[in-house]
Amino acid sequence: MRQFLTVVAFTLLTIGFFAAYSNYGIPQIEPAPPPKDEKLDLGSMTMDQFVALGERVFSGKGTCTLCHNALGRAPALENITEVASKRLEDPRYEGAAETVEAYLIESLVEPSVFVVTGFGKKGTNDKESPMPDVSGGGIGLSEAEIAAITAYLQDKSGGEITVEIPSGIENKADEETEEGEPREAINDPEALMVKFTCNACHMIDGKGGDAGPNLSRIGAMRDRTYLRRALLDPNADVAKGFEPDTMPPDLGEQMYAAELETLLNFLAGLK
Amino acid sequence: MNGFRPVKIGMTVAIFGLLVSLVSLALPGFEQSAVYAAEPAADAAPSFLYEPAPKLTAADYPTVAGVNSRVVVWVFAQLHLWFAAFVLAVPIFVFIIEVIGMRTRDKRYDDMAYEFIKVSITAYSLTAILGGGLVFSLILFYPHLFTYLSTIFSESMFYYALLFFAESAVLYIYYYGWHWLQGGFKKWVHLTLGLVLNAVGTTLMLLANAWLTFMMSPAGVDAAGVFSGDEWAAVHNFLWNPINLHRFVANIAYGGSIVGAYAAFKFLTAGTRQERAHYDWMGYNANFIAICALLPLPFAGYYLAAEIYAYSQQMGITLMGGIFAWLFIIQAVLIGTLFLSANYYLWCGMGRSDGAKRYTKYIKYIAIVLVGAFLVWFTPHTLVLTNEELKALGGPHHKILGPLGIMPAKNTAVNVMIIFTALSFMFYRRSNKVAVVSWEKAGNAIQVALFSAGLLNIIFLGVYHGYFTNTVYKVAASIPQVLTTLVIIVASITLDSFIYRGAQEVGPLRWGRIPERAQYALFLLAVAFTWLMGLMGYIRSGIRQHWHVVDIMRDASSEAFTPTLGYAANVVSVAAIIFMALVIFIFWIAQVSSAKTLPAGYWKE
Amino acid sequence: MDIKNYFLPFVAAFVVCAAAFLLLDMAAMNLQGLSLIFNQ
Repeated sequence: MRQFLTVVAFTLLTIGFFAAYSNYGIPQIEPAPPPKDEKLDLGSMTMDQFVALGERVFSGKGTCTLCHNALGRAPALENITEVASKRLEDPRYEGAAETVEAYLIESLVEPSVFVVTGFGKKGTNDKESPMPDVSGGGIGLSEAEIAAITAYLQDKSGGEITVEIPSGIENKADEETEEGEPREAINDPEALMVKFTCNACHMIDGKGGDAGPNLSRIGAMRDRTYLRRALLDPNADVAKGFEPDTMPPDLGEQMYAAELETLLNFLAGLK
Repeated sequence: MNGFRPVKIGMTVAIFGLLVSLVSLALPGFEQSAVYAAEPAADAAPSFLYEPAPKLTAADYPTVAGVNSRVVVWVFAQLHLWFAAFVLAVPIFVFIIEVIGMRTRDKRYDDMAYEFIKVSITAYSLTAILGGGLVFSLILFYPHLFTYLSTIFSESMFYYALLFFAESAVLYIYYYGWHWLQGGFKKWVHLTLGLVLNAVGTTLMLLANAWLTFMMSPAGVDAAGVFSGDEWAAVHNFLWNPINLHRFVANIAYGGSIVGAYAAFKFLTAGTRQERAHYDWMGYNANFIAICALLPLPFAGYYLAAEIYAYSQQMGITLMGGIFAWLFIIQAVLIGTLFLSANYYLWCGMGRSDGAKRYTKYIKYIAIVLVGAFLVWFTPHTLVLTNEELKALGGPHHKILGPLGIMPAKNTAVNVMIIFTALSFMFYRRSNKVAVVSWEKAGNAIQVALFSAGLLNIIFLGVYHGYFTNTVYKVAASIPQVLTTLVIIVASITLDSFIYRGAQEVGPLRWGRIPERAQYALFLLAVAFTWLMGLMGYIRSGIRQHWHVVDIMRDASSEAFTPTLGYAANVVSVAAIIFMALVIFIFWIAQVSSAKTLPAGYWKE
Repeated sequence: MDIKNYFLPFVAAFVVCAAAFLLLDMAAMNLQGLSLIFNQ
C-alpha cells in the first residue's frame, strides 16, 4: 500500500510540475478571438477612412502581415504601385488585368495567376502561389474589404488611389453584430506588442520589421513624455528617415489607459 | 473463472458500440442528406446531390447548464486516444516479442508477450467505452458537425464498426488461445492471428486518422463543403499519411512506456526475488522499445510539420511562429525530462552487472553535459519579466543567456543530448563484457576520436552558422548536425560490435539488482509521454483555430476561441490524472485476476 | 600514455573523422543550394 501511495503521489507531483510550468513558466498570451464580420458603413466613409479600414483588414482579419512582412516570407508591398505596373509589362504575366487596381485585386483573389520569381510553392517552379484566395473560406474577405485593401496598398506605396468606395454592395455581416463585449485588458507588454502588431514595423533586438524606428534601446534615447506623445499622436514627431502616416494614429482610442502605461513602462525600460 | 470478467465487459462494450452506431445511422441527415436529385437531369445517370457545409450560429450548439461542451469532448477524445494508442501498440511489439521467443526458443519471451497482452485486454474495453463516450458527446454537443462528417464518411464509419467487431474477435482468440495454440504448427496459427490482429488494428487507426485529418486539410469537397461523392479522396487527404506515420511510431513509444510503468509497479510490489528479476527484465525491455521508437519520432514530427506548412502556409506559421510557438518551449522541458529519465534508468541498470564499475566514473560527466544541454534547450529567447526586472536587465533578452535562447543553440543542445544518450547506452552494453581482440585499445581510441570530432563538428555548425550567418543558413545547418549525430550512433555501434566480437562475459546479469529509484524513472517516462501526447494533440487540433473543418465549416460556438496555453495545460493535466487513475485500475485488475483466496470451511467438503 | 597503441590511433582517427564530417557538412549544405562558408 505504501508503494502504491508513493507512486500516486509521484505521478501527481510530476503532472503538477508540468502544469505549473505551463501556467507560470511561460507568458500567457491571449490569442486573438475569432474574427467577426464587421458592419461596414460604406456610405458615410471618406477615402481616408476607407484606406484606414484597408489597413485594419490588412493587418487584422486579412492576416496578410503573417507573410508580407520584413521577414520576407512573401513579396514586399512597399512600392507595389510601381512594381505592379512593371508586372503588367512582364512577358510572364498572363492574367487579365490591365490596370494596377485590377492587378492588385486579381492577385488577392487569384494569387497563382502571377507568382513572383522565388515565391512559388516548392516544386511548382513558381507556377503556384502558397497564398490563399482571400475571398475564400479561410479568410473570407468581402468585396468591400478587398477594395479597401487595394486602396490601402495604393496609398501606402505612394500611388494614386483609383479604387472607388463601393456602394450598394450587400453587407456580408448577416448576423446581428452584437456590440462585442469589451475585451479584457492585457497587462503583458509582449502580448500588447502582438495585439497591436508593433513588431510589424518596429524592430526590438533583431525581431520585427523596419518600416519604423528600431526600438531596442529606445528607453535610453527618449523620455517617457516623448514616447507617450509618439504613441498617441505618431505624426507629431517623425523620426528622421521614416515616412509620416505609417503608424496607426488611433492607438489612443484602441488601447486602455492601463495598457498604454504598461507599454510605456516597457519601452522606457529598453536601454 | 478469472477470464470471465473481461469477456463480459467486452460483450457489454460491443453491444454499446453497436447501439451507438445504430443511433448514429438513425440520426437525421446521416444518409438522408444525400438527397436524390428531385428532377433527374437530361442524362439519365442518377446523381446524388450533397448539401454544402452548414453555416452555424451559436444557437445551433446544444448546451447543458454548467457543462463546458468543448472540454467534455476534448477530455473524452484525449482519453480515448491515449487508450487507443496503448492497445494498438501493444499487439505490435507483442507480435515481435513472440517471434523472438519462437526463434530463440527462450520461453521467457513468450511469457512476457503474454503478460503484455493481458495488461492490454482491460484497456481494450476501456478504449471502446471512451470511444463511445466521445461519439455520444460529439452527437450531443456538436450535432451539425457530426452529421456533416458522417455524411462524407458514412462508408468508412460502417467499415470501422465492422472492423471493430473483427478486432474484438481476433483479440479474444489471440489472448485466450495463447496457451492452447503452442508448439509447432499451432504456434504458426497463433502468430498468424497476431499478424491479423495488427493489420485490423492499424486499419482502424488509419480510418480514424482520415476523419481528423479531413478536418485539418479537407479534400473531396468543394469550397462550400459540398461533397463530391468520392470518399477515398476525402480519406486520402493531404495530411493523412504524415499523421499516420507520426502516430504509428509514437504509439509504439507510448505503449512501451506504459508497459514499462506496469513492470515498474509490479517490481515495487513484488514479493520474491524471482518476481523482481522477472519484472526488472520486463521493464528493461519495455523501456528499450520505448526509447527505440522515441529516437525517430522527432523526424516524423518534422515531416508532419513540414507537410502542414506545405498544405497551408498560414497554418504552418500559426504552428511555429504564432502563439503556439511557446508550446515548443514546454515541449522542450518534457522531452528533456524523457531523455534524463531514460538515461538515469540506464545508469541504474548498469548495477545488474559486476563489470559496470569500470564505467561508473564517467557517468557524472554525462549527467553534467545532459543537464547543461537541457538548460540551454529550455532557455526562452524572450524572457518576460516585471518592469523592474526589465530595467535591471536592460531589455527583454538577457545579456548572457539571450544568445542561448535561439534555435541554433537549441538544435546543438538536442543533438548533444542524443549523442550522450547513445554514449550511456554504449556503456550499458559494454558493462558486462570484456573485449578479447588484440586492438582493443586502438579501437577505444577510435571511438573517442569519433565522438569528439563529431561533437566538435556539431558545435562548429551551431556556433558558426547560428551566430555569424543569416536565417537561411541557420536553418540549413541543422541538417548536417542531425546527420552527424546519426553517423556517430551508427558508426560507434558498428565499431563496438567488432571490438566486442567474441567477448567474454564478466558474469551472469543479475536481473532484479536495481535500486527502487530506477523504477520511478520508468514512471516518469510514462507520465511525461502521456502529458506530452496530450499537449501535442492540443496543438494539432488547435491550429485549426476557429474552424471545425478548416476553411469550410466554421466553429460558431461560444467556445470557438483559442485558449491560452496555461488553460490547455490544465485540461491536459486533469485528463492525464484521470488516465493514470484508470491505468492504475487496469494494473490492479491484472493483478487481481491471478490472485486466489482459499476460504477455509466455506465450501462443503 | 601508451603512445603507439592509443595516442597514434586517436590522432589518425580524429583527423579522418574530422575530414569526413567536414565533407558531410559540405555535401549537406550544397544539397540545399548553400555553401559551407557563409556568403551573402
